[in-house]
Amino acid sequence: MNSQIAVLDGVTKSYNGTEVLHPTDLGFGRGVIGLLGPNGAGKSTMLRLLATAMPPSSGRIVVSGHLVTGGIAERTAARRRLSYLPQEVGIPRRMMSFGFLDYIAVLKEWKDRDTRHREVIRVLGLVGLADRRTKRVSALSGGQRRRLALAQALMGDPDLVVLDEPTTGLDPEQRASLRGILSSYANRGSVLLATHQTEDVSALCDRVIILDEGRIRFDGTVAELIRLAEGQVWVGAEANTRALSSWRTGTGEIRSLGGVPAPGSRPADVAVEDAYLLVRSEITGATKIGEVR
Amino acid sequence: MDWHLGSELLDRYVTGDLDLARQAAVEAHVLTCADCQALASEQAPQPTLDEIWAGVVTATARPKLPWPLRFLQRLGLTETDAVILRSSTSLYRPWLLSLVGAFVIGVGGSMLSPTEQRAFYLLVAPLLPAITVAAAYDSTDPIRELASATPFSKLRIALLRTALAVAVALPIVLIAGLILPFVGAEAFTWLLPALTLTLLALTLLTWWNAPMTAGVVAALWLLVVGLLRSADQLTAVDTPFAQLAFAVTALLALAVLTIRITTRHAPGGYA
Repeated sequence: MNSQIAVLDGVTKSYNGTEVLHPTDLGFGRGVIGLLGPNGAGKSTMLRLLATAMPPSSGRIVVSGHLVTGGIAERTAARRRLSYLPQEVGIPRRMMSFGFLDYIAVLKEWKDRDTRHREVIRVLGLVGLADRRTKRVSALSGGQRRRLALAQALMGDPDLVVLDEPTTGLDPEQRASLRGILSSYANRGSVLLATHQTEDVSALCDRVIILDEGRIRFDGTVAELIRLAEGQVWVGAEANTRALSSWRTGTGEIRSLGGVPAPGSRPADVAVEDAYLLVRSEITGATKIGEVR
Repeated sequence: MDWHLGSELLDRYVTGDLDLARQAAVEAHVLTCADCQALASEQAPQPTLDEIWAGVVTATARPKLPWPLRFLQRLGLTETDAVILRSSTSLYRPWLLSLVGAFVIGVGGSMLSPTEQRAFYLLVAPLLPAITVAAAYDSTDPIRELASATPFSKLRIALLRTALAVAVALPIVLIAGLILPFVGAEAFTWLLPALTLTLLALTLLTWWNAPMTAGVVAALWLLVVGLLRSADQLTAVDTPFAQLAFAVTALLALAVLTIRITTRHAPGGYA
């Protein structure tokens, strides 16, 4: 338990009497942990709770040894050791890139002006916005605004980095660059990211958690998740109407998932997305995920 | 160009061993001689160059503080508090509200009969600072969720915003009261009710969002003024007893606010 950077102990969250996170026990150690699940599964709720952005309805949350559900002093101590990127950050349009990060750095208690400004310049460089430092937010593109929001989460040396869909709006080069940055943070602490991009999970994550309707449906390594789908993914020349899902790939072959393989098809390498879709179909009892395209 | 920098001369310049005249000569020469610029670049220590460049980059990127904040810094406002206030874009709303409120007092008041003017001023003047404080904590602050996960004291942010919202609203209403002919002796009567309503608004903000808080405070005050008006007892507000009652209510609100912020909540959100 001592190696755990963050712990959820019997944590629940309800809104207006509806439980959106059922009793949850989880520990997060060093490494990158991916949180997968459909919209409304409870991913953002779990991240907000871990980031101390809202209180749980019940249960205990510990971050870097501080009981955040205990009191303001403990919560403040935990906040000094974490950083957080919400799903949506509506940065005021009149602010300059540098000014926004300077403000967040002050909120993170970087008191010395010169040290703070050096850190702002460093993270602007990390997300490729060094040349946009004097631009107003209104002059930035959507992707640049997302990178600016991400930059504040990369300040300092946090134990816990909580990122809600960090790669949304980034192009492939930027996503590759972000993966490199997050890997370096994962050597020192815990990086928890919610995403719909299964390729990010396979490229980056040591551990995957699948949430659905506020409950944990899978918790294991990427290899363990992929093993669940072995023998259930095929490619062949013929359309497969008896699969959970099938589609024509760029090579012209039909890739099918679950159900009964089409005649003449052969087993294919399993991707994280295949395994995720299969887990989801088991949860929902669906007999079809998509149509033949 | 009949001379160039040698290594020895450059070393002496770097270590500061040259007198002022020779330092100036070296600098003037390097500015115009490409060969000596190259030599100086080679010998300049990289950490120093990096430090200078980082200084240039931050100095050009750093937003300048508005003059009122620079003035407040001279009076003792810390640099970090100045950054918080500079970045509190939600303060534009209460400031605008103060100006509109003063305008409403002036125009609306002058259109009423003399008997109604007193009730109107007593209704609007104390409410204005309270509403501006509520507006400064609009729960739709775009980066509220992000800010809530940071260690900076939420109470400090709340008090800074309160101070700045009131610092604008109070003088505006006070000046309006002093220059409007129909106000008269009531120009100062509203100050204690204003303090009470402002503290009440801050306390309620630890439970509710800004619109709800502003609505409840306004409804409460409307009820008080309405009752006094219907009983033809508006002058009762000026009495020492009434002023004492406002002071006691303000202290009670302050006590509840203190309990709230030392337990779990600060005005405007989860502490």
